[in-house]
Amino acid sequence: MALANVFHQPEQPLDVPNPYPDTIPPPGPSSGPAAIEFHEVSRVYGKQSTGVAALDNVTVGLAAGSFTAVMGPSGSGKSTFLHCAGGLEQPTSGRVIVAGNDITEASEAALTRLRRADVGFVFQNFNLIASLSAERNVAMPLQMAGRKPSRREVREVLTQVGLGDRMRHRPRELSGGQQQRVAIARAMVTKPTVLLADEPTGALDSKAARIVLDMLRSMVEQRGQTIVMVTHDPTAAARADQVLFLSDGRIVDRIDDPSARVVADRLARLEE
Amino acid sequence: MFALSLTTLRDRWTLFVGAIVTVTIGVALVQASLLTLIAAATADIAAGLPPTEDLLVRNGYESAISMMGMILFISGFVAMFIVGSTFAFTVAQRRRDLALLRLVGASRRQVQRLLVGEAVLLGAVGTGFGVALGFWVAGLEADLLIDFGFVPAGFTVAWRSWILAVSAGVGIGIAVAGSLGAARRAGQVRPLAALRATAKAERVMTFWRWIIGIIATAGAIAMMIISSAVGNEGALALSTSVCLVWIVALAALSPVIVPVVGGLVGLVSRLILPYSRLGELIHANLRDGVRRSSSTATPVMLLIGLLVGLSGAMDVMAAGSATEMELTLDGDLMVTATGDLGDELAAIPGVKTVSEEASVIVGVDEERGESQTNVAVLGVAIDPLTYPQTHRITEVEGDIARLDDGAVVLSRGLASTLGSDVDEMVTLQMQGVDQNLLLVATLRDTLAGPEVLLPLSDAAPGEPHRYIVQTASPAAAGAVAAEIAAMSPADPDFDVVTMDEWIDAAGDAEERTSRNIIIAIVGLAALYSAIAVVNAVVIAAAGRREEFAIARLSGLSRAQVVRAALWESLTVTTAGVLLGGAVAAGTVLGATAAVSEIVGRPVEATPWSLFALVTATATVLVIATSLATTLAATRMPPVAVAGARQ
Repeated sequence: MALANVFHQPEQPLDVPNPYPDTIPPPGPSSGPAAIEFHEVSRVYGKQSTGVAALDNVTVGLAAGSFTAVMGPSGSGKSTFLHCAGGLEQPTSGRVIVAGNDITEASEAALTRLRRADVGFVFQNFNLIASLSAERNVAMPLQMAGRKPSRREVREVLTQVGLGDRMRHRPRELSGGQQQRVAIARAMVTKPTVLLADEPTGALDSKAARIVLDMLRSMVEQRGQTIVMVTHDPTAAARADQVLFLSDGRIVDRIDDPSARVVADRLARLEE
Repeated sequence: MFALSLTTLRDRWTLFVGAIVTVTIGVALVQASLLTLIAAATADIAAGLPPTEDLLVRNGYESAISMMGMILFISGFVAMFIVGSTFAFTVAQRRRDLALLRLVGASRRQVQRLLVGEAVLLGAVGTGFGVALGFWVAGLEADLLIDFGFVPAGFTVAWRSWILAVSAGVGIGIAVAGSLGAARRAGQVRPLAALRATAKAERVMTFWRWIIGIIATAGAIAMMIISSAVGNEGALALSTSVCLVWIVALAALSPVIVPVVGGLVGLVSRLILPYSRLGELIHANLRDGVRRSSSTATPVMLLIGLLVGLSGAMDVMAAGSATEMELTLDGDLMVTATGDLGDELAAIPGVKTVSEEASVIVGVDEERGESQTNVAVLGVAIDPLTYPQTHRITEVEGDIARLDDGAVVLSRGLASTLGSDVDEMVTLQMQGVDQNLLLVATLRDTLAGPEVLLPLSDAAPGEPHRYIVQTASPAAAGAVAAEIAAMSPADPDFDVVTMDEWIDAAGDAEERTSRNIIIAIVGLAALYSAIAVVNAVVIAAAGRREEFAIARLSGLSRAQVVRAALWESLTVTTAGVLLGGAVAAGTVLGATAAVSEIVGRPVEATPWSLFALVTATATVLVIATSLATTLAATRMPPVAVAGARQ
């Protein structure tokens, strides 16, 4: 993949059917090939009776090869949604299916396998291991999976994110945008079905943010990967195929082919 | 995984220095003590020694062997403990990194392997240094044993190549065993922990700490109740065991107790000291850093409790012996001579009574578990007619006047160890020959002995005799002493001193021996504790760089941050000193009660100077380490630290 491709304006992929023709949340899981399915998922913190529901009976399907942005006011359940999708938190009730695996009651070992093969993560704080070079950070998931990563393989991925010449640098020797690109390269190296991103541009300036979003966009288009991205930034959300709006743990709205202005208006109304 | 272990160790070496030093010392001590133990166990005892001499040499080697065994045990055990707390600390500080590994697909087992890999590397490095250090320590131990009189001069420790394998096994074994608990907890870190902005504080007070703490506390209280019931020597032995059990209890419960005591200390210091703007921050940090506080206070507590408590108990026993001698001996002068002076002394005007006696070494077969050991016991050959006039003794049973050739008097304790009653026969060895003797009386147990009384005819030829001289009036003692001194026979052993002088000298000799043993064994534990104190302060400061930076961004100057950290460390140290002081006080008071009971008069010996010395040492260590580490942790401008999330 050439880096130049990254700057192309995104287009709706034609081969992936959009499972949600309407702008309101669908009543059940999609009929198309979904990469992530939530079936009546609730996540309650504290006791069931008195606790706070971070997710309240959410049912949604996210099509394979789609780029979904998740937005909502603070405390609306965005992060919990992402954590449940990645098996980092277990729902209190309901079922979560990721890349065909029901992970609702999966064992630690099964979740570890899921993280090795099917799910990648990117976060606001980059979350790189400070003591390891960019190259070693990227190689880490392969190593954990018991593979001996070839230097060529790692170099290729780092080149794709434009850091082919920074392989030996430690995280603290890189800028924020560069660190986030290393984190993306780390998530790309296992070629996961699903990439979960929590505020990936939250700590970046607008130029670095655009480069990161371009990369995510091209992962969807060039590799057919599914991306779910939690964000506060309407400009970032506008790069997705669809935006889900969460409020008080429920999906309250959905916009397809979003533009930054429409997203910002909708978000402003939600936060009122 | 192993490569990652290597990287971690290289990057965070300051965190592991304490553990490496600990393993180094542990390996050096185990290697040296094992070699020394073997050397003592296989030592050739010169043939043709007089039988009594032979017995004493054998007994000395046995003391050396058991002392080395104790050093082996302590060094291995304590080293494991310190490595364990180091790893627990680093796991707590690295939760985010470990969670991150889980997030990118590491299994629990892989994370555990990472920790154990670090332990193996750390153990290997420690073994390397330890083997080299062990050469030197072995020589030191041999010199020490000769110095203590446990082994004859010329005792050497032979090098054995196979010890290298043992040392490597011990070094890596200690490190791995110490890391297992932390590795288990590392495996339990959930991937989600990588995402929490503030890592949820890991519980310091674990299930096992509660269990151990509660059992040890109950045990200590039970032992205290028992010791008040058994009385005498049993209580004395128990009082030192109670000290150790209390230390275990307080160490286990330290995450609960230290913050409470530290809070009280902080409160008091804020009342006494002028109002400090940092007071509130220090107080909040104390409440927050439970692991940090308890890791610093526990070794301080151990240091004070063990060193002051046990050595204080020894002091009490020495004081008790001296008091007992004063109470027992009824004489004004003590004359020592090899020749027979009895009649000449009695002829001096002003002398009322002269009682002659000589030390005798007697062999006794004591049953220890399954095996029988031939133990040397200090006895005294006496004149049964004059002895009761110059010694205030109490017979439990029988009559000392019946002591004659073929008879013996024993302390009640020794008689019951041998399972003999008055008017039964007992077997003792004198000059290496079994003798069947009639037990004619038993005496009340005492601290200083003697445990065996024999007729004067059993004194070994050539052994100096002591003459206890009673004068007609104590006022004339000086004149009598001068007259005796004027006799000046051609005898190198001849000496005349007042009874008080003699008791002082005897007390000093006894105190020196017990203090030597205490220094050798407890000093070792103290060395480890000192390492642990420094280690805890270093690790704690290393994990606080970001916290310090944020404090400075919030308006504190670098000096204020350093001062706040210093006050915090000192408060925690004071808490440790108070807890250790309580343990020591309990031990010394328990020993005092038991000794006073045995002696029959209140005995007092408070180890204030040692307490002050150990407290000062611990405080200086903490101040120096805290200043150095906090200054290092605040060297970078705060923005650079707080800004970089990695």
